[in-house]
Amino acid sequence: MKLNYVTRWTFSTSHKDMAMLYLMFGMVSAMVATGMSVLMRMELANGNSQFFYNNHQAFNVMVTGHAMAMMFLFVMPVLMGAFGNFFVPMLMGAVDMAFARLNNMSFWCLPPALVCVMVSVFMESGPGTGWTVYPPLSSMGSHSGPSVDLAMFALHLTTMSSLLGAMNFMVTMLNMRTMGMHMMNMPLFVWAMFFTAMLLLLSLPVLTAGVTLLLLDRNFNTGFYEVGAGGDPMLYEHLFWFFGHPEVYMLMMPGFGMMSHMVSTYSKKPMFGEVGMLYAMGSMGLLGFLVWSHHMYMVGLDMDSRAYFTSATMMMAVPTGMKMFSWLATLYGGEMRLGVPMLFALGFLFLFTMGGLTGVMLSNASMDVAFHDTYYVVGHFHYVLSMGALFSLMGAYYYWGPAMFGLNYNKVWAEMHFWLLFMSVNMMFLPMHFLGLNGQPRRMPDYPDAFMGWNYISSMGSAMSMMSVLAGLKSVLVQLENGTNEEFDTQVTPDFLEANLTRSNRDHALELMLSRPAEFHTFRELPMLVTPR
Amino acid sequence: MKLKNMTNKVRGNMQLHPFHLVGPSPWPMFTSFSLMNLALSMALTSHGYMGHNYFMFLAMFVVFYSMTLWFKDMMAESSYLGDHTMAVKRGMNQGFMLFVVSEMLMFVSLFWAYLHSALNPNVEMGMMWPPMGMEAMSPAELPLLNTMMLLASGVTMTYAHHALMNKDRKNTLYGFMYSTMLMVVFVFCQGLEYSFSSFTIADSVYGSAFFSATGLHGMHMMMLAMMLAMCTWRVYNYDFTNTSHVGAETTMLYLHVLDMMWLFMYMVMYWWGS
Amino acid sequence: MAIDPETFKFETPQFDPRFPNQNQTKNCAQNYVDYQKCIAIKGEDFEPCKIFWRTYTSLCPVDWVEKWNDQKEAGKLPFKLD
Repeated sequence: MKLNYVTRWTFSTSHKDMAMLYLMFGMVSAMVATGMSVLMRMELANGNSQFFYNNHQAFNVMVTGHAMAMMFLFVMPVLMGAFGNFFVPMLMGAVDMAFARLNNMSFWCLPPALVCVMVSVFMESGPGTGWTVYPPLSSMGSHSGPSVDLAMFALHLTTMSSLLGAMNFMVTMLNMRTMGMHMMNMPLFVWAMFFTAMLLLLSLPVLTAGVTLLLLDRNFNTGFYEVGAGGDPMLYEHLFWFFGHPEVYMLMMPGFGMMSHMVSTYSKKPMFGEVGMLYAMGSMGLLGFLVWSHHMYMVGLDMDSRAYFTSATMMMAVPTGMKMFSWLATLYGGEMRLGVPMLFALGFLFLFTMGGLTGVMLSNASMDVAFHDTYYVVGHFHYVLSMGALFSLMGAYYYWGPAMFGLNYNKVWAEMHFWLLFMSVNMMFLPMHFLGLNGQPRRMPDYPDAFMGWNYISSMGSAMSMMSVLAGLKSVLVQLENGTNEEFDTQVTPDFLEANLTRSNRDHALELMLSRPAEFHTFRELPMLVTPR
Repeated sequence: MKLKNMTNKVRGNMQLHPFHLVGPSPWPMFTSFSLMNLALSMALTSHGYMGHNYFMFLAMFVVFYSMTLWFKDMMAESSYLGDHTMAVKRGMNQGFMLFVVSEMLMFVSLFWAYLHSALNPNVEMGMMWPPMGMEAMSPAELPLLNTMMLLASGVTMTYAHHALMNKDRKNTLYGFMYSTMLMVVFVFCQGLEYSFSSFTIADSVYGSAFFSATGLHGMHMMMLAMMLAMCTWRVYNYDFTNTSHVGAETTMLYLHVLDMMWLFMYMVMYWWGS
Repeated sequence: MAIDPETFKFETPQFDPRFPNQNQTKNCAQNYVDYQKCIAIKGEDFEPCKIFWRTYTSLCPVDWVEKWNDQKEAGKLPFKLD
């Protein structure tokens, strides 16, 4: 049965086709979100109003739109949707995802969510609430239009998508592993997706409840977050961050999995301490649920709670350190190849560590008094997300892209992409730490002239990041238009800069042994794992 | 050469694995796009951009309709095409269990919302729970009857389950019918209780939390009544066998979990909180 | 009023473990209620009642106390005193 295009791409039930859809969708939302970030950075390039004509609400709307589009419509769809969908079944020798139609619904909930976000941003005065949507700012009194409701509905739609995806992933991993593959034989990326799915499953319903109560407060006159009715806005913050903290781990965890694959391939060594890595991810997942109030140090929690959340958050550094040192130990003594994915992996290791260290600073309730709501926080989470999650995502694209498309990338463009991105994100986000330490508040489109210097450099970094985006798009274009398949690839000597071939030598990774691209249904016959590690 | 890879091999080929490769289906996209319509029309209707809510109800109808068609496909695959092997059934049960876990978390957060105010009622409520001047419902009247009915539905459900496993068609039918009726009566009694309540959802956080939590449970009960009616109908149609009845198993699990949720709700919101 | 720095003891309410949060609204209101209950039973001159008085006059904004006093006179105090 030959499928026509409409049937194949809209009514799809193939995990690989849906991964492609996710990838394309993620790229579109990434462009939207990047555009918003550039607008913000241009506004902040100098003191006084630059672009928004002193419309601070519009600036905050950009903040909201950027955050929502980046997290829920770019990173999650690409990491979980695209790479997860494509490689989780492949790495385990499963024929497809467990629930193929639900998988399709997971994807098709996302374009509607993007529509909702965009309508929300452009309608009336937009949601100037940030992605956290705290009441009372997001209540009827301060945001009377439909924007906040639409943003909430967008969250509902992405939640639905991710929840269905999470169930799908977990069932696939529990039920569809191939013959001979015990849970403990699952590759680290699969395990990373398992823990991600677990986090999604346990935290997203809480967000749904939290924002639904907000919708009820806005439209049905209830009083959950209304102090006059006996409610408490702090309830929202608790519910939100009970979701929100695991959410940031959901954004990171798949990246950890990919990182292990890349580091091990390009060091030509098996991963150091695989089981330890696995348990580190598990304990991060568990701890992720126990630290949410470190986002709320300034709301007037009692001393005991702040002491607990400070120490629990610092505990988080232990599994993170385990992972970091295991990656370093894998590199150590390995035959390192500086292929493009490896560049991204090394960038990740360095910059994610930076983000993690500023995170340890922020975990202190006493230090947070100074850092809360300053650019220090913005710098911190962009180091972990924009350089942690994004670098692992880009690295994975170059690592697995050839397996997905059957086309090798052009390594000159790819390396250009990496170096531009590496320099621009550092130029953009490093100064934010200094600005934050000096007390520049976040979500403010204006600042005293004293902050001008670093802000200017940061904005130049943003302009440069646009160039890296262009280089990245060009690199993808070159790959898709005249990327060579590996039959035609010639060996380059010395090969320590060559990425495409090192990947082929990885003969114990199932996804890299299959034909590129893999067949429509990957396996006609289930493979069998004969030498478990 | 590449085109060969893009052919879809759904059925008719010898399959060397126990899993079900689903063919292309329009229902997921229909469902999610109607969800988008629902979201947009709800937001715009509630802010006066439309003078009516026909679009909202239309969208709701389309959501339910696409879901119905989707479930129709699933039933055809399981009962008539025989696609649901043991491995597939195991996966379905696992998936439903995970779904139930996420549902439980939803209830947990509503309990959280309730207890956040109930354990530490603020000055505006007169520092007491239920708030100053509010009449809570008596836990010993209709709510107690409702509790008994739900417990009874657990019994009839187990009765149906055992009959189903022992190939006893008549008693399976009775079991499902009794459970369906108990659910319907429960929803009816809950409706009575709501209509005679002395407070509304807008009466302080007490009313809000009470009605949202019991309302969420009530909606699940309506859903459960539909699921049970569906099961009854499928038993009547000889869709289930003693070994293959995923629809019945998931319904049973759902019923028990929601019963349990009700018990917590009864204890916390009706009894302790009054 | 002249204050003798030798003898004056500056007293603010001590930490009350029932109200560990920074938001002391409930501490204020609870002490107001406790004071009203105390004097209803023991009379205004009963010395131990003064501890509640000192606490709520220190913690509560003056206009809240005035509002509650007015409401109490009108028999509409939104707190239970029994």
